[in-house]
Amino acid sequence: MYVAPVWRPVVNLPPEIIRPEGADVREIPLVFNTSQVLVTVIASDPEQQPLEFVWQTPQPNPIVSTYAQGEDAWVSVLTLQEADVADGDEIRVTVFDDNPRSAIDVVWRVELP
Amino acid sequence: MIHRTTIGLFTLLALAACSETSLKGDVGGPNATDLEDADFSYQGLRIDLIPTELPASAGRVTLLPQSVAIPTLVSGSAYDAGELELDEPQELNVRVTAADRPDVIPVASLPGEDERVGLDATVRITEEDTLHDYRGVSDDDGALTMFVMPRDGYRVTVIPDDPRQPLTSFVWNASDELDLDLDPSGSVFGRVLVGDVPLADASVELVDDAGVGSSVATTDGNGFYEIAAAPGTYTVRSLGRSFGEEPTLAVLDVAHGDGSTRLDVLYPPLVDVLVDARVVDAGGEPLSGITVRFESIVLDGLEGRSASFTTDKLTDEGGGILGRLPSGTYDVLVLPPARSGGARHTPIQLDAVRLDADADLGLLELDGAADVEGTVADGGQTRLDGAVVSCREDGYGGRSWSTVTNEEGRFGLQLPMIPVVCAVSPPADRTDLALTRRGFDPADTTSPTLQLRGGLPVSGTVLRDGEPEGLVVVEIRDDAGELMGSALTDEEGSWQIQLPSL
Repeated sequence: MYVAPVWRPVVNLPPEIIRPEGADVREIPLVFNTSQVLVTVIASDPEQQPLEFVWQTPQPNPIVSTYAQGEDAWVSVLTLQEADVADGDEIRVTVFDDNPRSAIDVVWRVELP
Repeated sequence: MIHRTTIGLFTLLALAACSETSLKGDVGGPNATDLEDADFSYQGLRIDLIPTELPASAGRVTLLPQSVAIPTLVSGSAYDAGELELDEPQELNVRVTAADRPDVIPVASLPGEDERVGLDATVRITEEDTLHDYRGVSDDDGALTMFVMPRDGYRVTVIPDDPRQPLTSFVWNASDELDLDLDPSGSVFGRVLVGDVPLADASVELVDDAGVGSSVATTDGNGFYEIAAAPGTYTVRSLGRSFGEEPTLAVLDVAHGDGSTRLDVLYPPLVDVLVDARVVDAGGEPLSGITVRFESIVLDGLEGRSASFTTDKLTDEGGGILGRLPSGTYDVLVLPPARSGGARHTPIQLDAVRLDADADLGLLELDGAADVEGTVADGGQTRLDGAVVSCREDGYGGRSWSTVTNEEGRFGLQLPMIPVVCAVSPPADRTDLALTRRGFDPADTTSPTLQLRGGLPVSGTVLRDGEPEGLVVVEIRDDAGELMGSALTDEEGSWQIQLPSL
């Protein structure tokens, strides 16, 4: 006789990236048509847990502002100066809730004119 | 001996919240009680609108960040910025041209030979204290496409790749045609000499009164350089040879007219010294990958002149560094690397180290980091869950770390034992609280309570083509560029930010 288990594993769903659009399937071009570019990621967590953002940039100490917005959106804005990047540089942010195993990466590729 | 200093500017602990440049008013005295009772106003603030819809490519730009000035705000009066329309960028298709500057000058020109030629150049179009700061690079034929916000009063600077073509700046209104045909101009030229000896392969640049640099010219075998520029006042800056043997030496306020201007850059005979040191942790173990930065205060033989020399040395596997520097007096900073998980070591600074002979700085010992466990609360001492705490070193390498408070309003961070400034963003459901900055020194306290308070509400609506635009980042900054508050527009395009107040 089969007895269905009463215990079900709790699955922690990864954060959802709202902006930039299409970040889950491709690198995002980061076009420097201004001297300073504000790189923005907007994300939410299905379990409405707080999100954290870890940025990896060519400059060692990037300027980042992160805050919560509305019911479940989190915003993180990285300020990049054109002088601090080279064409083809990768900018990466790792977005995660309290379980880093469900982290999501968003990757931009710098395009200088 | 290791000497740790507190890098200045750390008197804002109790005052917090606002930068002095933006918070102005009749504040009768410097103590906090007076400030609490005083009326105040915000001046020179701006709203930055940052669309999160990205351009698909450099040639397909549909939106650009834009800035809107805010009038003076008075405490106690909420400010409604009204409807802010996202303007369409203006596409510029222009060509940078100038008279040809052949390497070999013809004896005589035939009719038609003085035609203009397209230039490789960088074009900057900027409006001060805004996000309207654009940069474009022309192709081999001088052709250039840029997108700018339609505004008046831009400063346009053309920086030809060839320094023999003139560095040119002018004011331009976006409603006018943009003419980038550069007028012929005289050059700033001269020699770079060390003592009486010409310095070949030295880099020289001009910097205009807005701080924009020309292309770099390289001195020839006789030490000569030449940089063409429109009439104006410039700084001539010699950067020394590419391998950093000479200090940077600037000659300020060089008046350059219609003709040519001769300006020689004279270095005294320089004496180099050899410096070594070893960086270890508190247990005496060598630390690799640590940056040891030497920043000159005064360079011997260049006293009273605008000279500087800065170099970074990275410690090797044994924690050692070895460097050659021009003799002088230096601040020496020992800077651990940035690390996302928290600080592991505390940076140090050695003040005014005299280096006029070969020197061994000995063991530079870095303390570990402090385990800081703090709380975030509102004015009523209610602990706040979901507040973002971002702490940055006050000076030194400017490393930063961030985390989020838990359900008990607590946060934990490993921070260096030097003063830090923490920006605390309130939880999303506490729109009555303002982004607040607080400073503390983890060497003194490892359990700070960071208190958030209400502020001055500023609100508005963002439209695009007359319709509400969601997912636009709205930031308010002061005239020093310091972030005062942020928000994201909702589906109705609405946003609200609390400006911090005392």
